Amino acid sequence: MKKKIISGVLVLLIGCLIYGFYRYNKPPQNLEDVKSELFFSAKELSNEFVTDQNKIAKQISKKVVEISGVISSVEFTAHSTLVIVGKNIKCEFQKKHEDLVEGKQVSVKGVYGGFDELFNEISLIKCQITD
Amino acid sequence: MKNWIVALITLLVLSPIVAQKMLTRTGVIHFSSETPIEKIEAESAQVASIFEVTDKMIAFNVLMKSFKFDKALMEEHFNEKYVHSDKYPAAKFKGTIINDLDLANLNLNEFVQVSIKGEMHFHGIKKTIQINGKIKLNDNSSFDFECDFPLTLSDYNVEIPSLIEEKIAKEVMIGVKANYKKS
Repeated sequence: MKKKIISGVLVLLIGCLIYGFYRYNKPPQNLEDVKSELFFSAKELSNEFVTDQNKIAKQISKKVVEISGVISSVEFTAHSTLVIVGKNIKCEFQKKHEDLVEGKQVSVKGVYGGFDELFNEISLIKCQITD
Repeated sequence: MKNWIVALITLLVLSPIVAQKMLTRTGVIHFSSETPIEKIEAESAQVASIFEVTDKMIAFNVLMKSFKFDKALMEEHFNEKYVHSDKYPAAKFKGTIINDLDLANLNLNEFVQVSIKGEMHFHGIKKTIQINGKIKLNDNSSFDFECDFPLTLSDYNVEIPSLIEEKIAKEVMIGVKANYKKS
C-alpha cells in the first residue's frame, strides 16, 4: 500500500515537472489555427478608432480580429513584413510575404497591438492571411 | 519689388528641403536583461519614428505588445506583470540632437556620434534623459541611426517581485536601429 502511494506521488510529481517544463518553453501564440472572433472591413475599424478610440481598443483587446481591405503599402524587414491595409491598419506578419503587393484585396487576422500615435495607425500583430 | 518676388520664389523652392521630414515604420528595438541566472531578450521590428533633419528633432513610438519573445510565458509576464501594456500601450521618446552639426550635409556613408536630449515616456512615467548614438547619411539620401542605452527599471516604476529579483536585471540594455527615408 505504502509503495503504491509513493509511486502515485512520484508519477504526479513527474507529471507536474513535465507540464511546468512544457509551459515554460511554450513558444509564443501562433494564430494559424485560431479562429477569428471579430470581423471588420478596414474602413469600419479605422472609423471606430476615430469615433471612440478607448472603446474600440477595449473591445478588440486580446481578441483575434479579422479585417478585410486593400493593401496600400508593403515594407519588408529582416524577418517580417509590414503591410498597411486601407488607410491606417498596420499588419505585421512574422515572415517574408512576397505575395503581398500594393492594391491587393486581402483578409487578415491578427491581435491588436496598440494605436501608434506618431502615424495614427492601428497595429495588428502576429498576422495571418485568411482565405 | 523684384527682389521680393525672387525671395518669395526662392523660399517656395527651398521650403520642401528645409522641412525635411524623414520617417520609418520598421525601426528595430532590442532589449536584453542579463543576470547570472537568466538572459531575457526581446525585439520589435515595428518602431515608428520621425526624424526632422533641419530641426534635429527625433521621435520614437514603440508599442509594447510588438515585442517578440522566444517563449509565450515571457511575453505574457512582460505585458501583464511588468509593463502593463493594456494600461500603458506605448513607450515614447522625443528629443533633439544637441551637437553642432549640419545633418543635411554630413559626409556620405560615415557615422557621426550624436547626443540626443529629450523626454522618455514609459510605464506612465515621464523622464528627461540623454541618449548617445550615431547617425549616417547614405548614398540614397536615407539616414541610418543607431543607439544603445541603459534603462533602469525602477526609474519607471517597473516592479520586480522579490522572488525572481535575481532573474531580471535592474538595468536593461536597449538598442535601437532605424533607417529613415523621405516621407
